[in-house]
Amino acid sequence: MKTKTDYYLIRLIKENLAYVIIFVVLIIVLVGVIIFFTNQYATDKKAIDKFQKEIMVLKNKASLVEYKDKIINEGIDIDQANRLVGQLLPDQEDYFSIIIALEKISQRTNFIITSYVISLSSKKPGEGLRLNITGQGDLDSFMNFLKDYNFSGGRLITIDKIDFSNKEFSKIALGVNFYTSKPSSFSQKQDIRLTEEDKNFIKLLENKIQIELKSAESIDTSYPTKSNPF
Amino acid sequence: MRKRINLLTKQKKYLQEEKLFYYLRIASYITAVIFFIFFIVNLLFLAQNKKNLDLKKKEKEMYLQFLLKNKEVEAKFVYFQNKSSQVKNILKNDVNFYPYYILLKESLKYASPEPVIESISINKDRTTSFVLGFDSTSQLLVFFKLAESPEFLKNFSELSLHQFSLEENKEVKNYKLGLLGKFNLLDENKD
Repeated sequence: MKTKTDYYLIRLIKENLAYVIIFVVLIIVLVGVIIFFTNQYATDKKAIDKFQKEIMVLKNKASLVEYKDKIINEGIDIDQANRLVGQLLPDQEDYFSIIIALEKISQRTNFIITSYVISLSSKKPGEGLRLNITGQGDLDSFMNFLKDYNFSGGRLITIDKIDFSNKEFSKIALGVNFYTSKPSSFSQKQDIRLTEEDKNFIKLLENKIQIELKSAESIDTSYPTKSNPF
Repeated sequence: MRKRINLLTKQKKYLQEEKLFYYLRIASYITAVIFFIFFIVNLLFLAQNKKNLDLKKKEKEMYLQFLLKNKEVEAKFVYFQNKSSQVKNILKNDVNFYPYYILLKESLKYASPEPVIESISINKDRTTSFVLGFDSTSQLLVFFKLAESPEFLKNFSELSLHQFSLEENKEVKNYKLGLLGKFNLLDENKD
């Protein structure tokens, strides 16, 4: 069966061909533009978010300058705190400071350190330098020593084990450890502002190492020194 | 042969087709207008985003320059945190004798008359051994009661009697108790 040709429809199509093409093209372009803008928005949003995070971190760091001045009003000086912790835990071993630390502790506690032996061969990387010390005094001076030995010499000291007898104070033997440590990698994600615990720690150090700092300020350290006097 | 269109018989169909194309033209206009508005609005938004990005870039640069000038401040805080955390870690390996000694001495005050700490040994892992001296059996019995009380035992994660001795000298009796144990962890903040 032969289909009849709809000439009227053909004529209408011919007359509206431009509209048909424009309509189809606009729809295609519109879809393309929507995809383009969506991608562009996503890219921009990602970039803005990234900048915002970076700015937050930078802003936080920048506010440290203000924070440094603020904590001075609370009696905390970060420069002095760094001198204290740097003195407690120097980057490199300084045997001279060990001797001074032992003398300081003796003076402050009246527990007289009569002899000490440094076993250099036993020092391993990352571990403390062990000294076997012998001291004498009375109960009070030994208790003062036990209260203060960690910081009061100006160097960080730990003891692994203490044997105490309430009758024997003339020759007390102790194994003490001194430490050095270079600053290790520190995660920048951590907040580096001082916590209350940090502030209390600094105040504790200031109380314990005050005399050492005052005397250290007047010492001229520009003279040549041997790295190992032993 | 000439082609003819019979408008009378197929009028309804032609009117529908005419209407369809009329709507198509309208749709084209509307689509063009929507496209134009959509394009312009989005361009404006994109321009705004670009402006925001530029502002953020400038802000970042400003902070970077500021930090470059004051970089030693951050370094100081990092240095302190670094060193102090190292000090605190090292202190975990300290015997921390004094507070534990005082803790034992204070807890013995609950036994009246209080026994004498003849000797005490404390390790950095808080294990301890100590010898207590007593003048009389009654004093010893009072301590035994205390040693079983929660007030005394709360200071130790473990505690056991490992030695008992009696020294008699000119009618003076001296009892000695040797105990082994481990202290519970004290608050780390010394002093």
